[in-house]
Amino acid sequence: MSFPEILEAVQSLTLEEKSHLMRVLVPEAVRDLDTSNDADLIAHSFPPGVVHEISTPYDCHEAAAILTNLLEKSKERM
Amino acid sequence: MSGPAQFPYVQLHPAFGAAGYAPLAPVTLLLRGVVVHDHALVDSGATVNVLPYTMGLSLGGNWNAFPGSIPLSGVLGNYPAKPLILEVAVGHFTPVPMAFAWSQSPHARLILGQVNYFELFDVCFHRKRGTFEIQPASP
Repeated sequence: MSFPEILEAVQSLTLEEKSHLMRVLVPEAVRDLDTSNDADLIAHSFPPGVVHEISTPYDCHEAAAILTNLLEKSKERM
Repeated sequence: MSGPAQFPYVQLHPAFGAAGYAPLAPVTLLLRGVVVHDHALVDSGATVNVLPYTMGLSLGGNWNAFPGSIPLSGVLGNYPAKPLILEVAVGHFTPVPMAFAWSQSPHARLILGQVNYFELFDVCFHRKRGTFEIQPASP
């Protein structure tokens, strides 16, 4: 089954069926490693409007460098 | 040195059963004497801390103080974000400086991420028990 076919199949499910799918697909261990992982899967796997609340900024290393630099400057001024 | 503070997982999406719970910590945000109390997602998958736009405005943040924008990813990637440094008290712990990506995305929520929340605090998740513990990081 191709990814578009999987996506189409998922989008045709009811919310209750999607909820069940979530419980089956997202193991406990994954949720513990990335504490918003389950929500991210929901946000990225389902059509807009179903769940659109969670948004994790992942792999934002440039942003992280900017924030770290500003924090250092802030500490120097104190 | 005080011991860890324990908090319960909070149900965000009742329809998703056990998957609908998330680790939300009570926080107090401070900026130049302005105080906001809220709950933040303790998010080990987030590279940076995130501050919603309206919350930054409530704190009196100046959107134009930083030129340009800092690049974010995911659903936040299509919206501008600025850096903002706040004093943050997590639970009952002493306030510490934290840098946030202040995002204009309507999807942004208050997030405590790797930079620099996880640099300052040790966190232990007990998902099965529905609790998590936080304490200032050991030197």
